[in-house]
Amino acid sequence: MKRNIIILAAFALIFSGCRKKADYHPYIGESSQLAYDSYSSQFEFIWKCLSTGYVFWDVDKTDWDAVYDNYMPKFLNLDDKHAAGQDVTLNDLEELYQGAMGGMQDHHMNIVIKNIHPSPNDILSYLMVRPGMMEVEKRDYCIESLYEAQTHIAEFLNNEMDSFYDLTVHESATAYVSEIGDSVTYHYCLFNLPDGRKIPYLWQSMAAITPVMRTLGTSSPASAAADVVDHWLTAIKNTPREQLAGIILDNRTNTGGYQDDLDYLIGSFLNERTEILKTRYKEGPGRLEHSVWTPYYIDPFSKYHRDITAENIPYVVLCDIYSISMGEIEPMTIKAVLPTSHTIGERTFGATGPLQPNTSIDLNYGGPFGNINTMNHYVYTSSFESSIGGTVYEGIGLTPDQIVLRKNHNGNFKAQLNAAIEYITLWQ
Amino acid sequence: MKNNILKIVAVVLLCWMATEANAQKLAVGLKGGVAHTSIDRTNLGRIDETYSACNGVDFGFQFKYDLMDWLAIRADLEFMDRTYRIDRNLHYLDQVYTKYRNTYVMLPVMADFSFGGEKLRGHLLGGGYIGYWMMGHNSGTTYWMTDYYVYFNDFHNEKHEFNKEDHRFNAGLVGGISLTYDLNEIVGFNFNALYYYDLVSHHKGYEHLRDPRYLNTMAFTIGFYSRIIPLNKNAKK
Repeated sequence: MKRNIIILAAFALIFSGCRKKADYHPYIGESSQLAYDSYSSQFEFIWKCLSTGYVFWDVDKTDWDAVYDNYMPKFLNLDDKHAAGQDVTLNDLEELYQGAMGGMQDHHMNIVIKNIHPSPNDILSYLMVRPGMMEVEKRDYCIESLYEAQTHIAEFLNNEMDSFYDLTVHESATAYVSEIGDSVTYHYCLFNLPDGRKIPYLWQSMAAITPVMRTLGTSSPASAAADVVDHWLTAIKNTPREQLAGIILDNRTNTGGYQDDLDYLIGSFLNERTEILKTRYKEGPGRLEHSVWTPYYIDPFSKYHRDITAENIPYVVLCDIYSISMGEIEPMTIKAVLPTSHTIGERTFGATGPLQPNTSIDLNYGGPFGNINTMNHYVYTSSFESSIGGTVYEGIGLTPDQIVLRKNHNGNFKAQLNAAIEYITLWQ
Repeated sequence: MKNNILKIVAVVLLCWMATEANAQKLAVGLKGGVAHTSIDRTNLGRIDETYSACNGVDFGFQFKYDLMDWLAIRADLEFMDRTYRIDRNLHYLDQVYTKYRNTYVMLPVMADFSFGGEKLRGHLLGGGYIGYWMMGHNSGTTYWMTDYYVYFNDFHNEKHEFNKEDHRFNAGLVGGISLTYDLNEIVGFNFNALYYYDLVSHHKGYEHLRDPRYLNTMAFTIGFYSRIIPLNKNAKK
């Protein structure tokens, strides 16, 4: 008996030491490991955080281990260069970070890096690598930068809409949304068709209807913008069917914003609780360790409700290469849920992963991390992965039902809008 | 080729069993019970999670071949739910959890050292096992958060989709005790308490970021066994 116990205990002792230990996993939000003092350890920290916290490893084809193998020696070379008393500039770093991370699929991603040994030759204090913008600017239908497109569509809306089209109403307003520190502009137009019917049209520079509408009827400076949105939704709700030809939502150059806007833009037209999209998040440091998909439901929104499906009213959404984030999730979900919807324009940006601020990093071990003011890095990346109608659009974007490229129309914004009006006019 | 080898092995075993002396040393039976599983993994970088052990079912076949009156070889073929749970602790997400029910087919092979009387005997068991992760079903609560609201969603028995990070082959050490009671020269009952200690991580990890995760299972089962040929007690001595 005693002999048996000794034999068993010896085996247990011998083999119990055979388990491997885990490598150090940086907690993506922690600060204790941020005091890196070399270019290679800075790279390694960011590499590890993205290895564990990046939410798109299931669709992103980047070979992340090969990135480490290929670029770690190059960052070590930069350390050697610095140790030899030579300058390492932001340009040197930018070249490496663009090569290592510039091909990633998260189109929200923005990698911001400070030079930990600032060079007198650095003009800027930090560099930015935006993989999404790098990819989009290579598309053959990209004719200008986001800033240029925003400027040009504003000129079109402010200066040309009234002269090109027969409008009963054209209202516009801009509101500052303090929650996100940005301004949103709306244009509401009521188009007159030759047959006397109307088309309520809304252009929104970003998706911020929810915070703006909270000011409706108040003395807030944002209430003028809320009035514009209210007039569009009220026109949709109250215009008699025989006078209502269709609806246009213009999301061109809409750079995104609030998910809750879907209550207004879809909920207003639903009769029952409907699944709009699914999301999931990282629930472990393994690259493919996701939660199960969580459905997101929208309930009918009674205030502006109209059953456009039963009344067979066409709902056209315009989108373009700079319809970003919620600016493209809106046409994606409207297309997926409302049968009379139709999307026109260009393939959208492809940034569909919902985000949370980096102060919420504890929520799901993913999303933005770092702080460029207090640390030497900041990485803006999606907190969730979304799937709409069973498709993950990240890095790809929505290809609209009807492609109309500005590139083929001298860059003007009319052709896409004309296509929308024509589609509605011919709708049966 | 593989099938031929299996056939040859089966024929050799049958021939060997055909002798009465060998056959009466063999007992076969069924067992079933509960498997209580915990997980060993790093919680570095996972500051607001709690890992806890859960119960699952364990059932299968048991085989024993007597080598001496105090030593036998014991092998079980069993299906075991190795279930554990991860809970979030963060204040407004503390209802979020996932319960992982991983079903394994296990083949423990153990040395069986026995002691005691004719009918009631105690056994010390020790050896190793191999296993295969057949399937996984997860239940729990997830969340989704918009800018203004947090939504929770319960899910039940969602099938785990295996991916390249999952290591489905499993192996480890097993040891424990068993009590047997022979009703007669053919049939007996046993109670088993066996501890399964993984030496193979079920998560493969990555070259530059290892993250092994091991399961530990304490299984309590009861079973019965039957000898193919009645035991000749004299021959055993």
